[in-house]
Amino acid sequence: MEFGIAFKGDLEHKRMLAISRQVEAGGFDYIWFFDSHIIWSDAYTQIAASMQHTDRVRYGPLVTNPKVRDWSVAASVFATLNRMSDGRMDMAIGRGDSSMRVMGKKPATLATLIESVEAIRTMTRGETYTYDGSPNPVFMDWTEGYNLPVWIAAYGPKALKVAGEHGDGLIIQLADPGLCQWFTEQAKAGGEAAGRDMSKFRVLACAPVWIGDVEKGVQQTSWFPAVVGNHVADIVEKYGKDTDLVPDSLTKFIETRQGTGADEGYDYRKHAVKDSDNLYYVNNAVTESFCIVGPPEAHVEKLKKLEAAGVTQFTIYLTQGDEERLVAEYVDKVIPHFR
Amino acid sequence: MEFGIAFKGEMESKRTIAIARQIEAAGFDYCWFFDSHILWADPYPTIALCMEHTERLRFGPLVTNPKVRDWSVAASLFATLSNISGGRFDIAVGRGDSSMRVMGKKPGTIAYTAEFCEAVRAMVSGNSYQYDECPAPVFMDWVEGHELPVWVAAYGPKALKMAGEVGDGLVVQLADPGLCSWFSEQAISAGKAAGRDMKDYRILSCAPVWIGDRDMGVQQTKWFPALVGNHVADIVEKYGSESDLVPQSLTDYIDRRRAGGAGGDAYNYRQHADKDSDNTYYITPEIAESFSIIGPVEKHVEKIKQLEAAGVTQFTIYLTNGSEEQIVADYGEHVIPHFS
Repeated sequence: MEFGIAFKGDLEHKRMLAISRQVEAGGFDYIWFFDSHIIWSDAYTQIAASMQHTDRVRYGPLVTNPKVRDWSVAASVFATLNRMSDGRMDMAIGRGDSSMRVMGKKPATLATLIESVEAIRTMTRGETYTYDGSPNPVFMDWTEGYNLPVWIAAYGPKALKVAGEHGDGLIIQLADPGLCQWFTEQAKAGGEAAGRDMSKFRVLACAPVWIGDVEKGVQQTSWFPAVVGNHVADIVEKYGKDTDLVPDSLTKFIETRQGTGADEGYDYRKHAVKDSDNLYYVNNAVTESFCIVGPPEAHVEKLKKLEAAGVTQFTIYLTQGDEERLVAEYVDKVIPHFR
Repeated sequence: MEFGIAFKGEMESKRTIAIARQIEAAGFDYCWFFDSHILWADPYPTIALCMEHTERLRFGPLVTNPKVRDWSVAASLFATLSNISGGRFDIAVGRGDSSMRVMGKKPGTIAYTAEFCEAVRAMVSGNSYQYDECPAPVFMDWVEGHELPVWVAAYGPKALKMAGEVGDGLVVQLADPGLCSWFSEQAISAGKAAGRDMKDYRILSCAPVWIGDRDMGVQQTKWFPALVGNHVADIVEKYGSESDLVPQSLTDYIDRRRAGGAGGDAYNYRQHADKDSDNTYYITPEIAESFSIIGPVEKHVEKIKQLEAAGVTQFTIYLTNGSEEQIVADYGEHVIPHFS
């Protein structure tokens, strides 16, 4: 099992750097950054700064999307970060959520997502790529040829199939073992149906955690199911709520959510904010199921279940207070059980 | 007089860091990066990296353009770099040259470039801004409100006017004192005509330099007049070669250049700013000497004094034609001390 943390991009710079060092020293494998350029500060320049303080840990956006930057601009950023870190960059990508919606724009189609993955991978590796956004073929002769592992974020059946067909890994933005297994199986089936060897396929579950009192933990992390709820609302709008394509536990969860689809019933300006009005429909049971809250033993137990469900990396959304303590407790009391 | 250097972005990271440290210690004020994401590494992560290794030096792209990134994406980058460095970040903006042309795209219009300056300034300072490509107004509540100085690169009369009206400074991409004076006056008079107080207006002249033998210096720097020639070809195409809107000394040398305009057969953008490229076919030693600074250190001091008299407030070295550490050391020891 790999471990990672994800920064939202709201921490003071020197503190973010110190936590980066703490995370690497503690044996974590990945440092991710939310990529939503209007709501939070730019992910890539912070990655570059953080890389100056680490030697081993890998980096990436969690998640970027195909519409926010021209693909050659994105590939140039990834190749540059690879060059300066001896190849320590990955990319996690979805269709586009907060960074698009806060601009009044829509997420990309799955076809665009697929092509963007191919484009960015190819250009980052230093090979020529031609796409609609650039009249001339793009070729960057300075890239040093690093491979860019690509993780694809998905909830709905079609996106999961795409993740299995095109990704090196799947991103599941919740930590419920049953749901993780359900998502993982679909992605892997998609990849196998396309003739891929899925034995090395990676599955990343990400969620906030709280070590300590359950009630307090629920309070600290209940912003998270509200974030997930937007994606669920999106797929329920697309597939309907009486379908076996979406698990019951997910459709039930958003029954009391207002509006239809992701744009209604949610204020993206308060995305992933702990005390916002967006949490109105989130109950404690859902929060406990999507996040990990409780004493260290509860974390170990749930992570073992996630591992059994096929999860290969657990990443902590490090954004609800006590950040240094949570990292330290994981290092002392949780990660050793998986090594 | 301020001093800066500009990196092309082709250099290995650890060496870039070492030189950034060297220039800060040597008394330079600015560390700029070419922004042409396909030809060279992306400047912004590299700026973030250098910021972690310096304390005083200011940074910025030299130059970015309004078409390569969505404006909110650009503003988010600029604000983040301001935040993480305690406000040590400027931008220099042009209409777009190599980063657009290498994709087969055209530069932005002057009006579009002017609006870009206003947009990123507003968003970086934490104000709400709405622009055509974004249906919802953009507001970034996490910016720390650092001021973003904006320099505008220009050669042609209309661009110079805009630079004077909109910019905090003008970027003149050559080091000929006569031409610098001619460009500066146009920008400053346009600013005055628009009712601005221009006494703190800044003029940056940038060019490659070579300390030592003239022939070798011409060899090392003649890529530069070839690059400037694209811009000149562009304005000659627009305003005509007989026009008094463009000085004779500037139009003469591009007579030998093949084809009009910046693109086409006359120039290969894949070899942009490449010292040994075929693009330098029409460059004479005299033009190389006039646009760059070549010769012993005394020659550099003398020419920069002339630039200062012509109104230039910052000289920036394009640090991309060999002996980089030596050039920085020589400037730190023998040139910069002659200027307050």
